Amino acid sequence: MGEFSGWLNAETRYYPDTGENVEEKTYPSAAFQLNYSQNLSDNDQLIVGLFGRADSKDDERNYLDAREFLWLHYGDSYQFRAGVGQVSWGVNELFKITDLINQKDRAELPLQRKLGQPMASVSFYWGDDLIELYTLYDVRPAWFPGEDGRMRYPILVDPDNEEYDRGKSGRWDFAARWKTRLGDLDIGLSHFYGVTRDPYFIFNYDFADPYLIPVYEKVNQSSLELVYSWQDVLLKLEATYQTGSIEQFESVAAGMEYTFGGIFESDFDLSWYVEAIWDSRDQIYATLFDHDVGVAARLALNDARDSNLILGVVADYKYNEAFGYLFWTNNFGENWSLNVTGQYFMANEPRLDPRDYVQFQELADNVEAGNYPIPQAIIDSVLEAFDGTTISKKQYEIMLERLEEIQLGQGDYFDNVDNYSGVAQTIFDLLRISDNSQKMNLIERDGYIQIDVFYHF
Amino acid sequence: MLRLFTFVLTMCLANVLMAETMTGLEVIEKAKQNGKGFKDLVHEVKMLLVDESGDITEREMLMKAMTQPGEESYSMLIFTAPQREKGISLLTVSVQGESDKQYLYLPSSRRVKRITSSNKGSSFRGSEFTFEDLSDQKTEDYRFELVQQEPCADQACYVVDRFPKSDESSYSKTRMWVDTEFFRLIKADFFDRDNKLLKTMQTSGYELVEGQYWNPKEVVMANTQTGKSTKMVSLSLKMNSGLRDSEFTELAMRNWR
Repeated sequence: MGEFSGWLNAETRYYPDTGENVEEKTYPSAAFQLNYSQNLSDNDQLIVGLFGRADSKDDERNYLDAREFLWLHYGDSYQFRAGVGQVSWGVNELFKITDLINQKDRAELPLQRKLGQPMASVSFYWGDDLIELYTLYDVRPAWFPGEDGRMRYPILVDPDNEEYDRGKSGRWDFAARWKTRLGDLDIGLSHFYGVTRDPYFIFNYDFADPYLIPVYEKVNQSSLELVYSWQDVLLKLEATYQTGSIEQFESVAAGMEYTFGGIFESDFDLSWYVEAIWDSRDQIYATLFDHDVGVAARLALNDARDSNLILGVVADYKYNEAFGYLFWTNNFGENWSLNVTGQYFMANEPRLDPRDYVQFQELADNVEAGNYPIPQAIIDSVLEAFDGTTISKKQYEIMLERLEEIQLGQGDYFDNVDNYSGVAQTIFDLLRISDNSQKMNLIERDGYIQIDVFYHF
Repeated sequence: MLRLFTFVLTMCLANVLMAETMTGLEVIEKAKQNGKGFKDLVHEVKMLLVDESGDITEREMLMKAMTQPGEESYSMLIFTAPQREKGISLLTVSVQGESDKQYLYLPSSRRVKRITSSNKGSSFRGSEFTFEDLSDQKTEDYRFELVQQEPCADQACYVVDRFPKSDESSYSKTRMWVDTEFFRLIKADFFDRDNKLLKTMQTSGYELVEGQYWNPKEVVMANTQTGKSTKMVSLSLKMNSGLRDSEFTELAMRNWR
């Protein structure tokens, strides 16, 4: 007989203010994790981890996931895994750009948990070096908030539609990683050939029912991870180089971690984390962090309850945007634990104003009046408003094409539209989403606080 | 972090006949001899944290350690209870002349994370033991004074005062009672930097393991200033059972169930 364990969770997230698109402020929800493990032999084991959440407000947040469903076979210096698994790569605490085997579970905040990934993998030692080879089956689509969810953009991501550009190897993806040590330096080198976990977006060009559509394309990503310990300081670096069908880019995230023990003559340990990220892309929608600096402090109370407090700030160094966060955790009783999470968004870039973009309304008016071809000056001024900013390179190409058709009255983009001022608003929303300086302005006005209680069994 | 697992061993000693006149240093050197010479150990320990009001928090852990003479030494600490901490492990690789490398494995995220060595004065997981208490204390870092011989419990003990040579220690002085027959640490008083009594440690239930290593069944560390205490109970101890270095790797941390 195997062994059961897991937890039950009750959660409430509270936003002091109403959202831009959603009135709802309080989001109670519940979740469970059920783990089961059974030894099949001295070297074989079955591991199961099932997770489920039910949210009382956001329908998109009702879901089940097999975090793990693995057959594990291991010997002295190797491990073989087949099934659905969890893999963690990378050395950073804030900007984890090399950790790409599993899709992040974006419905769970803070973003620590991941969706289970179907895979077969072998890990073995070659001398002192750890080598891991992975065959991965398909990508798990990323989660995005639904109609009633908060922290979402004004145009929803279509929950039922994704596009895939899977390339030659179809649903099969491959990855390899090599880890070695050179004195005080730990080195990790990896390569991933597979469908990206971070989709780019295109607009669906249905003005009666506007949605963003995530596009997952096959990419090659090479990654480097370094950790170097220098006295009590850990210096860290993650770097990636990715090529896909549309663009290639580099990303570097580096930083340090330092712990002071026994501060103020107490048992408290204080750790500092400082990290910065730079990304060569101009348009990134899926990853919030591109040109940011993060500073976080973790206070470990070293008490019987294992109490921890984390405070952090992540600031964009290109735009005047930042967010602060707070995380508190402690145990109580033999089986209980409490988490308090808070996030506060600071958007100091001026909000774009629809009154500055009368050309969108002019375009809509001309479409409504059937005034084709629409004067070139209006098309030009719409394009000028966007000025190359876009949610993805692909989206910009498509926009140029579609605008040409719209100008001539072709296509069925307005077939079910009955409110043409809504059309102007949608184009304006698209502009806001495209503009990197508006990220925080769009996500949420202020912030939220979330309380989680866990019962462990 | 071999030091953590030998916490009992550094306090015990070989059953060597005592010399007529010993210095404090010699007493402690004898006491330390017992902690050496073993190849590996597997130690199951229960830790009970008792707070001011008598509430008890329990933790269980498995400690594995291995030394290769003149080469690397390894240790692994695996938390086994309560359930929410099960599988969390800490791997320390020590190479002579290099600083220790420590790795923490968190089963909830399946992540192995490099960490810096814990600060000496920090509490070990909320207990009254600090990392300094549990560390392999080098005799050359201290000055010892033999105070006297006196009866302790049902035996005779040497009383030795230990003074740290550097400022890094969180203690100004440690007074230790070592029995004269088997050189086992029976009791210790720890004085804070203001020379006030901070903690008292008491061992009990010594058993002879493998015919040559004395291991106390229980070690209680009581904080006289806060009223909290921690009891370490030795559940099982195996020595020289032939551990392999492959049991002290990232994969071993991930494979442990």
